[in-house]
Amino acid sequence: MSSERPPDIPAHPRRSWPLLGILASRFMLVACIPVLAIGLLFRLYYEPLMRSDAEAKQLNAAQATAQQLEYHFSVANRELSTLARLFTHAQRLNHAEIETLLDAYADSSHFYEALYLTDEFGQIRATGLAASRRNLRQNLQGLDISARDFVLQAHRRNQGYWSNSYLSTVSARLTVALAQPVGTRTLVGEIAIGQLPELARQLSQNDTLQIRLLDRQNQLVANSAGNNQGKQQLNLGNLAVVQQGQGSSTHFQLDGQALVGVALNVAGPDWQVLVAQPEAQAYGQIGIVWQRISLVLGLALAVALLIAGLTSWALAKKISLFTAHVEAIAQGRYDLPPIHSGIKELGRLQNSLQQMVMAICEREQAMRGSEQQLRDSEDRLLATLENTPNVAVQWFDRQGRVLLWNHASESLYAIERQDALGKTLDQLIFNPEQQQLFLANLREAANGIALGPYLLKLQGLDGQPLYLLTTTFNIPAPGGGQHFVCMSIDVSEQKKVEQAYRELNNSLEQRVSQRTQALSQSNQELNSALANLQQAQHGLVQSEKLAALGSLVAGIAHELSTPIGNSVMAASTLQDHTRTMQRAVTEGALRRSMLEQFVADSQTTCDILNRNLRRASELISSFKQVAVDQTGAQRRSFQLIEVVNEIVITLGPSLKKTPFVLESNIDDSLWLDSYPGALGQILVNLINNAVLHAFANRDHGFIALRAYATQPGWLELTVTDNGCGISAEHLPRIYDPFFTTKLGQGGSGLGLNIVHNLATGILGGRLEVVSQVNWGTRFTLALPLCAPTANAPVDKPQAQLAVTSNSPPPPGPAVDSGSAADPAA
Amino acid sequence: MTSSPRQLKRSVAALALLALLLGGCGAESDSSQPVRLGVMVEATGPYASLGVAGRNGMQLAVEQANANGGIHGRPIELLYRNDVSNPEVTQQGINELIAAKVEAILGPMTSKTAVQLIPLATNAGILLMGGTTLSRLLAGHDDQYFRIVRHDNPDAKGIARYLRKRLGLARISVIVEDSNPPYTEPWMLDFNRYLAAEAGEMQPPLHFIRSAQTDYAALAQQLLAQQPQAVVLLTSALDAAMLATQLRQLEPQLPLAGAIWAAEDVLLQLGGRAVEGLVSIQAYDLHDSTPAFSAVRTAYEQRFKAPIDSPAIVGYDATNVVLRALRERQANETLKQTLLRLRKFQGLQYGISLDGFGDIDIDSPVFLKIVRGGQFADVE
Repeated sequence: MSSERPPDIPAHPRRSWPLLGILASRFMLVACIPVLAIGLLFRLYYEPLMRSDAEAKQLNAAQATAQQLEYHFSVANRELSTLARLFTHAQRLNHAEIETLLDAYADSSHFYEALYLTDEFGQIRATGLAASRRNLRQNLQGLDISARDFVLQAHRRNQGYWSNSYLSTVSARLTVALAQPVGTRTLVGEIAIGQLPELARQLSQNDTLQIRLLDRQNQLVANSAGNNQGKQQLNLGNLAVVQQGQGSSTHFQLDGQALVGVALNVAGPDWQVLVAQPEAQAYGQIGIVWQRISLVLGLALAVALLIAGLTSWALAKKISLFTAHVEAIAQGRYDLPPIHSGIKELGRLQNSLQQMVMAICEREQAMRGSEQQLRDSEDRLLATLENTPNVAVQWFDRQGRVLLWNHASESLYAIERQDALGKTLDQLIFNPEQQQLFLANLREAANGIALGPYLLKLQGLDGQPLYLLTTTFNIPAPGGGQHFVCMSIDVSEQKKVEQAYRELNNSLEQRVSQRTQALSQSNQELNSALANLQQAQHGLVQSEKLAALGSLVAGIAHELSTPIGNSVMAASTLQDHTRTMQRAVTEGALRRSMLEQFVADSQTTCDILNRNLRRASELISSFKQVAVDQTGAQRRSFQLIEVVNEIVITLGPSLKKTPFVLESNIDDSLWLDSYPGALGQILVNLINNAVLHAFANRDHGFIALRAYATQPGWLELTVTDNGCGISAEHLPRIYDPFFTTKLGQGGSGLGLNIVHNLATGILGGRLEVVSQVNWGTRFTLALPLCAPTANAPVDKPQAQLAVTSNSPPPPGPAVDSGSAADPAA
Repeated sequence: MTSSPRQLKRSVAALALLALLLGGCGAESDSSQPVRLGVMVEATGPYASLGVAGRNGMQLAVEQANANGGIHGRPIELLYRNDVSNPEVTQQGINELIAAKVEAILGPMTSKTAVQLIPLATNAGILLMGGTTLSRLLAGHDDQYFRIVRHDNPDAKGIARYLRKRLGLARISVIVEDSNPPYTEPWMLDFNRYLAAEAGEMQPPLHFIRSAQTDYAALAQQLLAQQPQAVVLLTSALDAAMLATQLRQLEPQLPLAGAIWAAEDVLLQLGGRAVEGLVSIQAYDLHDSTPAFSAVRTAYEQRFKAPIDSPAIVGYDATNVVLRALRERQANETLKQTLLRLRKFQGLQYGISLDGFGDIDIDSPVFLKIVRGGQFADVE
């Protein structure tokens, strides 16, 4: 598996977590929300309700207890007050009667353990005691209770007043007493507090509540809990709940417990009922509910976690299965069973996976097909290399070891393939020197130079030398690097032929010298014949010249006749006019109009006369010049344009008759020190040729004369026409004397010969011609501005040059002659 | 682990849930460990008035100390055990206190109980700070028992002197309530000695044990049969009142005297006019108007809705001595060693100086009182 990541799959941007963890945590989060909500609901709503509920219960108990006690004491109060009223109204009761009454009360009363009635000084005079105590009556007799606070209060208020709790003189137990004023006397009833704990216990709802009774001084007088060791009359006045005493639940610490309770006042003896519960108990319900809720929520959370875990685990497992399949596919296994899943997306994933597998298979198949094709073509290539019968092909590596040895190599070197593969050539066919050369070749080939074809000489098996034409070049090797190909052809046969050829060559030299001798002899004979011919030619040239001159004179005369004729006519007209005038004058019939007419006519006539005569004069001077120039090969310095214009003027009349146009564009800075006559003749001849030959059977034509400086000291003069051109077969022969295509039609065939002779002879220039059929012809005359000194007279033709018909143009500037080197030396 | 937003949310949620659950359970407040003191007083029985008053004094001292931060920030807690003059109950009570590992035990208020408690406390190595335990027999022992009251029976001396010198009476009868012999025996011996020193004559004492069947009239008659010039009541205030009532009925002008034991408000309440002119000794000036005492008196009255009396002051002072010792106790020092080191303490009305045996060293003042108009008045 490649370690490189394909570029289109991004690296993980941040840490990734297992699906199990993610899903499970999400589930947990979701599950926690209702848990939190319920918890909050309970805490913020239900718990306060339950608390107030518990407190209300306490308050109810306190109220019940207080009411009970109040009732208890109020009944006691009523009893005593009844008795007091009795004593108030029954003044005449004697002591014994009173005591009997009091005893009866003490016996029967639910409340009073002892009753005593004082005298007006506050000393006890009559007592009522339970039967078991009556023997101690004397103890109480005379006891002064006037200083007692509750007695004083009772008299001050004139109503019953309860005492603080105190130790009874009668029972030596804790007692609370009620004093009722009876006039100035006091009736006191002592109530034992001893049964109050029992009462408290009864009211404590099976000991769920702690009921404590506190006396007016906040001393503990009864406790439902019972265990009062050391706490009898313990003063609980420091407790906030006792100090408040008005029915609001308070938390306090007592007996090492954290309690919550409420204290209510008991009217009558001004006691307080303290109802309390351990906090844990009071709110125990809350705790239990909390526990239950927590348990249930915990269970729910656990179940949620379980479900979450299972779901995530199943999903993760499925996904892992997919991953495993994908990995298997990556490793080339396509036969995996499909993964079934109830999840739609996973089903789609499975389908896509299968499609992908199919696509991969197709592509693999296609690839195999193309691989097959590649292999086939490779096979063909190898077959090509292998089967070529003549070209020995070998492949080498850098070290010169044989990698390929084709069939032709086998037959060439007579070494089998299996013997050759892997070996270097010095083990097969080369000597060490040759091997070194070969390796050097390989190194050169490695630099991209294709070597060859070069000749390799080897020792053949039959002792004969073996000549191989070899090329060496490099090819890329698989996996980088280079391999080298050597292709060799056996050229031994050719070499043999070469050898024979050389031998033949040697013998040839002998024969050639023989022939040369014979040739030189015939050459001599030919030379004399040539001399004769040249003489004849010279005569012809002279006659041609005369003929040309004659035609020229004819032309001149013709030319002159027109203007002179015109002049004669004009002069005669003038004469007539003058005669008429003279007559008119003589006859005296001269009129102004006649005079004016005469003047006008005379002017016109004079104009005509002038013009024509001038023209005649021009012509004559031109002809003179031409003649002078013609007859005398006079050398002078002249402006080229001058000569050209002269020629143009000269030929003007004859050209006017033709539909052909002659145009000249001559650089007027061109000055020559040369033979204008010759030049003129050249121009005349060329132009005439054009007219005659180029434009034959044409009704239009254009001849252009151009001249311009070329190299320093030279100029080129071109005569170009757009006529019918010179055919390729005639072109080489146009300068030949008497060569003409219009044989029997007037041309003598010498025109161009003369031109050539003049150009190359006296003028010392060159003449070139370019022509194409139906396009035109251009003659280019290259002239030195200063003609060579006239040692070679113009009349002397270049005899040697004229001999060979196919005379090539004179050698111009040196031309690069690249000799084709024979590679196979 | 670097926390992602998801992780953070989870942590917060978990914490919230946890807080809720914990909050619902009503977390217990953990205060620092309280200093525990045991209280063993007679809150029931004939000496209940001593016990309740003494306990009130202890309570007041502790509540005031707690309001001021306790012992180095630790609150003081009192464990109450009643001795009920029942030896078995007493034994059980002190065992429980020892088991509860209290720092010290305050009480008892009677010498009889002290006699039982002292060896137990000494064995357990717990300091026993006595209340109104006046017996001379408890003095001079190297034990865990300490007290801030005089054991030399100054009331015996004072009464003897008063009767002889002021009233010029020589023939004195004494009636003894025998439920507290460790106190009463030495007292009588002392009284006899003081009286004899003043050329007085103590008649054979009349003994009785208080019970629900006590016939005070008969006792009074028996006393008067000795034809005393004055009667000394070596009884509780309750018994003294009862006896005084009977005696004064028979002999209205009989001079009466009571031991310090009897000099309580109960005597006045129960005795009424019968105790007018009774002479006794009080260890404290209950009408002291110094600010310190006034403040405590006011606080006591507000707290307990009753006037302060001598047993309460004893309880208060004794507790403060112990508290100071607890505060100033050094490491590896027992409370007893601290007390013996400190020696001098400040009581409500006078300084307290301990000797090497845990008894009072200096003679603290006593006040001769006579009952006039239903109040204890100073004798001129």
